[in-house]
Amino acid sequence: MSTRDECLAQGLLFTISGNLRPRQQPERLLMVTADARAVLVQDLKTMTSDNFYSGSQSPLEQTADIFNRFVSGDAMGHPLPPHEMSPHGQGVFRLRTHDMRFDGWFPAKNFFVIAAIHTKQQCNAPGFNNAIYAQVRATRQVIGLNGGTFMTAGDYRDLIQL
Amino acid sequence: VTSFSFDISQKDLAGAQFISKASRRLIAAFVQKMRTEKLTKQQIAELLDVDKSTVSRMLRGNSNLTLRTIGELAWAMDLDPDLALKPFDERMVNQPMSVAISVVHSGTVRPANRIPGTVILSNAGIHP
Repeated sequence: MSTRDECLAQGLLFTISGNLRPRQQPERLLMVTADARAVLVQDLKTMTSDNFYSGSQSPLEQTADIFNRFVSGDAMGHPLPPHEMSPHGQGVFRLRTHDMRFDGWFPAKNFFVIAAIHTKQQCNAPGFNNAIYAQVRATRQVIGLNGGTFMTAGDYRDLIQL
Repeated sequence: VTSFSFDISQKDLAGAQFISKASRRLIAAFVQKMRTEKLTKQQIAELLDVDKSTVSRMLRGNSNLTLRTIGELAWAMDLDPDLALKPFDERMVNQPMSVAISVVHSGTVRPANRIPGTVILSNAGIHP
């Protein structure tokens, strides 16, 4: 069992700052695993929108925006609300933008850990979502944050209500 | 280093956030108006002379809302687009909208909810 600080010290998890504006205060905690951070650092800048949503922003801008919204405590519901991945009950949740998918779990209310980052197109491949589902569960177990505990909820809003 | 920040300028982030927020707020306001007035997408499509699917895409956030589109949608729903620019200071931190765009019923006059130092071009009415 590892605490949050131990996970940070060991490089298992990284805190997402949310690029808050000066004097903005974080209202929720967002972290990524080392693998997810690598996607942010190495891949995100070169990713492009599939333009299914006409006039979409770049994946980098979409990601920066949703991270800022989560950390700053903004509403998350419209137009693509987070949702629990099926089968329900294992606490695997997904945050979404037009082109990006962020899968992870809630160790506590208002605290989300992203374990996998992929594009929408990648997730459309047969069986891909099942693989992500298994990956998130496995990562959660390996990291062992607070003993691998996670939250479930019928409605995501129960987990991010300030 | 245990924290991660994007290498994105505040300017670019602010632009991205504004597009995202404006779209979310406007669509929510339009959908609320449709529910309240029991308007159908078909009725709106006929007024705008477009396919129902086009209206559906707009209201699902699947389509880029231009200023013209916003104006036309608002017209079809008898709404008046409204804009309020407010300073981003401590009073605005973590508020749902630091730049508020909303729609109000045409012809409706509401008392201004003024905040000292705030420039309100006109009243913002619906904040779903």
